[in-house]
Amino acid sequence: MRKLSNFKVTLIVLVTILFVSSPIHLMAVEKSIGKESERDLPAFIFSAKDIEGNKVDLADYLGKKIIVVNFWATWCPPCRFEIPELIKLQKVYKDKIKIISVSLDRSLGDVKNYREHKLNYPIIWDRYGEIAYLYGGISSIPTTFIINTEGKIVERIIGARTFESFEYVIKKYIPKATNK
Amino acid sequence: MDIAIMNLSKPKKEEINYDDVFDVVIIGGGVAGFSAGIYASRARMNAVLVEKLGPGGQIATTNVVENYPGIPEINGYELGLKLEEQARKHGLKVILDEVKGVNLKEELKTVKLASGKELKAYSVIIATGADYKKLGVPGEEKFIGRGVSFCATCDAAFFKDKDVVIVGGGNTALDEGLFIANFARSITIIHRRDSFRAEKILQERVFANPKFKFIFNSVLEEIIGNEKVEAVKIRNVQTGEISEVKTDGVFVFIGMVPNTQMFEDLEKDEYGYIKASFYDMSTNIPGVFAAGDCISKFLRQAITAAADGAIAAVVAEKYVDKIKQKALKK
Repeated sequence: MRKLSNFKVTLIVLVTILFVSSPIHLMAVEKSIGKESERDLPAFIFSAKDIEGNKVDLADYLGKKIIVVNFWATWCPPCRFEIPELIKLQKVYKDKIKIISVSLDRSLGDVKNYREHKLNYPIIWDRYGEIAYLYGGISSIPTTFIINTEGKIVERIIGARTFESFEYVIKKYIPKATNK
Repeated sequence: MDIAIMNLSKPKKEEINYDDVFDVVIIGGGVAGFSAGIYASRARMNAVLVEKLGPGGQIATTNVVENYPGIPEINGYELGLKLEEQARKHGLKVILDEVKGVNLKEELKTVKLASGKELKAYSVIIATGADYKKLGVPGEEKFIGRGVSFCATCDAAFFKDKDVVIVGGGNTALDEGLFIANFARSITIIHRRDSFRAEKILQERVFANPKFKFIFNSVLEEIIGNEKVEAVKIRNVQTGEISEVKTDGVFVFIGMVPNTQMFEDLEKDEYGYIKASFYDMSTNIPGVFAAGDCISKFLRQAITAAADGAIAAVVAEKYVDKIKQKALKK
């Protein structure tokens, strides 16, 4: 691990305080928040319970699959447009990627209503915006992070995308031997 | 806002026969596209509409639409869903795919899709709409997604009890500003002219709302911040005076850029909008029509897009009929 700057140390302290009573657990932190240079920096690896109560731990997928962290909310039309595309992406690339959906809704009920759309990936309700904070402070949705098998953020995608657009991006990071 | 039930179920495979020659391919699933689809389907044309993400286009990100005749108030996203439902009810086929290329010059037009498939048709209606224009100032790209936004419906909730600025002075700027006012502590509208272009009713609402402040005759020169947006630098266009306004976010509503880049053979105006006849929505290429926000015109609203789409479909039907009649005579 690289040596942490004072800013990062302060950040980690703040984040640790934030997480003391939170159901979301931080597994590892080292990242420059909000800088354009965040590309290729290690991603925050968190674990949390999804809206069904199941534990979702990014560490389980690290090194095995491309992790796609999608921030969204039910109030956001482009986010809703994107969901069928993500469902298809998860279905087609089920052995290569793991999509983790992070809802920034104000109400758990709103998120749970989305069960009927049969999302084939877990939804975490980020009630207090903790995960959003760890990922640089999300103020536009949808925002999607692509984390490669080395645990580095390799893409930060703002705005809704089609299946084809996502596919084009993730194909770049699927290890060559398993690309097909 | 109510949660609209998504109705983006993809058409069954047997619905689309890619070997067909369609009467019309409609590119774009906004108000103009679906309006064209409703009229084409009711005319019993073999019509297919291609939309890349979901129904509604730009209107889908509008919180409240209240100037569409006959509908006192509706959420834009729901209006998009209703447009699709209405068009499908009349037989319109809808494909969720992205158009990657076109060949419009021949009598038989070709539309190439991102999925690798192709559609062939006697006529094409282009209703690709427009996207929000960026400011092009230092700091904008850096802070997109971290304080700079183009979609109030998507992002206003992140600015609860915060101070934001809006750049723009048209209907969208004021309308979205009123939505943002449900969340933000204060909203400062920066506008380059000395008065707004927006409808008077919207102006009355923002002037009456104590959350709003106004800076006229000024342009935004730079978005400043370290990790996030902290301030904007503005310049008074009359005096040249430079000043800073502290803010947590910047919403940009300064106009649109038409989605017309791929239509190289069509005549366009200096801003890239397609030149279409107001009489029949025809373009410089026979069998190719254009409708909605992507064409050169004075007023870009849902109501004018709907009218364009209807005209384009009816004229396309006449055009296709002529072609078929000509082929029969041969």
